[in-house]
Amino acid sequence: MSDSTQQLKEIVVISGKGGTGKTSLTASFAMLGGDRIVTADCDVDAADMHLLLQPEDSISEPFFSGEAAVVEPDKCLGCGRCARVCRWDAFKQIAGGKYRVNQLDCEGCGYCARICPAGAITMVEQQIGHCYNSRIRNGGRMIHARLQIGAENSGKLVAKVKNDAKQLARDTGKQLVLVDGSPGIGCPVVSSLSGASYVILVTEPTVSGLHDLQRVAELVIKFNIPAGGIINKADLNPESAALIRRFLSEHSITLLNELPYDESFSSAMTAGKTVLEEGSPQLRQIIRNNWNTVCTAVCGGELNS
Amino acid sequence: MKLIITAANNNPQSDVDPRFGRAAWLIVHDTETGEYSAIDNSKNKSAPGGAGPQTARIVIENGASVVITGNGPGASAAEVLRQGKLKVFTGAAGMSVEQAVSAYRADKLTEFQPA
Repeated sequence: MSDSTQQLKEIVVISGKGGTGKTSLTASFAMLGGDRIVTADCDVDAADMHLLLQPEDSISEPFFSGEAAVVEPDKCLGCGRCARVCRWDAFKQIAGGKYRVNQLDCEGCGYCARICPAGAITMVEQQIGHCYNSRIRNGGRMIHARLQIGAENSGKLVAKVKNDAKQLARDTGKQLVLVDGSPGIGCPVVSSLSGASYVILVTEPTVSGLHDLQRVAELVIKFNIPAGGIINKADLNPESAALIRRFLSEHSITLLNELPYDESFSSAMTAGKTVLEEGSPQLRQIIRNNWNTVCTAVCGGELNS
Repeated sequence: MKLIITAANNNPQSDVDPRFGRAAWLIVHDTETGEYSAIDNSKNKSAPGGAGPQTARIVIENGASVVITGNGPGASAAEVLRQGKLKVFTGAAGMSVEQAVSAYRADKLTEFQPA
């Protein structure tokens, strides 16, 4: 085994469906991991783990992705070829007959820049948000990002957040990176899963909870990553919970735990805290046991300080 | 036969990059001559989208028959590789490129099953 990758492990928490409690649990795990881990929020489209962990003293860095067309008014002949080839209707003719790009409509394909006879259009790299390296209140560090209005998450941004978290972990001698993964099964979640040592699938006993779990579990199985499942709010629908249990067992996914429906998930969120801090002693114990089980599976024992 | 291994750096001692589409380098290994060469994949590593299929295209254009990586290509890249009739082997994360080639020869990697 090569040295640099042997020690560092990576746990990725995903759910497929939103609202299952994924981020609430990940934030609790981040509190348990303390300064022995680095936490990464790759759920960048709807980043909300910072609301629970309230990171401070952020070091920020702008993030660029994709390009958009910009017209140089002095060179524009007003011929309108750009507007005719644009599939997104991003060009508007302005007073004086020249053309201008609406940046929000531009997809960055570059066709206009290629065919402009006056060479008036250039493709400019877009800053779409910021990445942050911050401290959370238990002394651990967190890598996260914030997108600008209208910008979307991408495999690129997820890869950057994850790679930054891994680099920070290596530089500071941590053995584990905890990742709040992206939703769905597309590019960002593929990027979230790449390189994972273990995946925690958080689901709930609903029709869409099971459906989305099946879709994302298919990806995890194809990627050959060991996985464990948590059924949150398991007592709300015993029939659906039974279907989920059966699905997990048929696919050799360990059932890590079942959590009862608990209003402290909502009250913790409102208080800007984690369920680990706000929940009942029983709930805290379940979450603590979960974390220890996963750490043992991934690192061969509980995390060393 | 040519193997392509996703790698973090440009030589046979590099770590395997567990990512497919956004792998930093692609190392080509010719099993007949034993030679290694490297393809810079940084353009796809930082592509705003389509990194997987574009990397798959490079793999095909370089005449490889086998891809070795960590977890595997996503659905879109897997489809491109399938049409290019490539075999994909995963489970090489944590190995060096040379170790991954040995593991492939010893039949110790997992064949990736698209869909």
